Amino acid sequence: MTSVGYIVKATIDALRVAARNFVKPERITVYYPYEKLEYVRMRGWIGLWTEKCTSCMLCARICPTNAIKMYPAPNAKRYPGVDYGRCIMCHFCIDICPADALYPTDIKELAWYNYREMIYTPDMEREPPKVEETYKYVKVSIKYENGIPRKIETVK
Amino acid sequence: MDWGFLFSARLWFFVLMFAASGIVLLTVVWFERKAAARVQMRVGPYHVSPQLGGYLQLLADAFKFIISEPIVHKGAYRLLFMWGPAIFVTLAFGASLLIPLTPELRLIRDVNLLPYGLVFSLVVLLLVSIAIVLIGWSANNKFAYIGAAREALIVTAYELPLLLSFLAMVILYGTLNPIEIVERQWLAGALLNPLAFLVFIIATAMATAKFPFEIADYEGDVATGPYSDYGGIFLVLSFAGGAYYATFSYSFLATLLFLGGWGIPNFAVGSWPQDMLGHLLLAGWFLLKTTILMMFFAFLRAAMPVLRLDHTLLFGWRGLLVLSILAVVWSVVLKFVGI
Repeated sequence: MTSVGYIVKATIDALRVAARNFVKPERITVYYPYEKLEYVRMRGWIGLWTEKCTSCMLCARICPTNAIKMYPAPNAKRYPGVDYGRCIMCHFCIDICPADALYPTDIKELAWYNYREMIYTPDMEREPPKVEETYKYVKVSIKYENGIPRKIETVK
Repeated sequence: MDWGFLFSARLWFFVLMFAASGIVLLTVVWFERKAAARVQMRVGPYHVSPQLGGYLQLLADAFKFIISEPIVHKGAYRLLFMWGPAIFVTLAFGASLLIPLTPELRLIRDVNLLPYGLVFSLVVLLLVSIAIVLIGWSANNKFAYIGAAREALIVTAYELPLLLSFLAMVILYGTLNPIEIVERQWLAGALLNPLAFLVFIIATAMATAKFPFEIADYEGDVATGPYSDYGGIFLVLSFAGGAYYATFSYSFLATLLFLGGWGIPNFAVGSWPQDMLGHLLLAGWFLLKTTILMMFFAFLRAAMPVLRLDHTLLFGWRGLLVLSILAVVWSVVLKFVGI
């Protein structure tokens, strides 16, 4: 049985904490196009060096979402192409590749107009997509101090 | 043509109340969203007019609500479903029109009828919950039905304490006339009888579903309860706007009873058309206090969790009722001591 005094104290405490946060807010909102979160590690777009590829098809087998399709090439080999509508950027294909033909990038801001544009053929996998910086932005990161998250501007 | 009607006190009261309550409502809703956002480490409305702190977002939302199609679903009781929000907002806002804004700016012209206006405004406010039950019943939806049942139960928790705290203040002032009530408050009523003020605030939070008691329309349980099937203009008139009109009327009443109404110490106001600025100053002071009280209710959203229904009923009967009886006793004692 909780006492009345405890309930009153808890209510006043809740109001006090809220008032403190109201007066001095600790916002962690990232204003996206103008601020970008800096990740320590980021898995992004997957690139391919067709010269190294041995057509072992391990990448297509390991892919958990069946995003990789092997496209026949004129030289009787088969090269992987990624469907980014399915890809979850787990990079298992890069990890398993015995010839290091697939390489990782940290390009994650990908957008398409049409789902057909999301299906990349091996030729399209050779060149990383161009990143357009429409807005000037600063990099920020979220650091925890004593369990309280804080937004910190990191120097570019 | 005689242009004297332009200076009619009733016309000015009506226009002032409609315009001011609209602005106050927008400000309070904006404040509610911004305050909750600040406490929850967010920003809140921002991208529409960043210079104004996202204030125009409210206008954009209102415009969106008003132009969107109001849908009456199959199985709803058409008549009550469509008229419910109108009844709701009429009762919620109409209550505040019965209370004078300044000694002369008022809708009830006869001074002898003013005491009835005060009592009647409280009665009209307490009828709002019946409008909510009507809305919940007519929607023919189980969430709306559960919400309506909850609302009907909560009424039993707050109605008696609310009336008793009102009674306590009436005993203390010895009159029901709002003009005399303001004159008798040499010290704000909240300081003369803090218990009654506390009970009135908590009962108002229950009646207008403010946060620790947002049980009938709590989104986590019952999907906005009685209002779950509303959209467009219906939602504006009931949940998104009408509920704030109810808060406005309750706060208006509380300001009159507990915070000194329009009274400014050592400031005497003349008769209406001659001393127009003085009257507008008093009206502004009254509405400012009302807004601050409404902002407190809005701020509760940022601070409080939601109580369970049975806990609320227990609190209403064991805590609030006892407190309100104590408030009445306090008033009687003060009256006998002769303050």
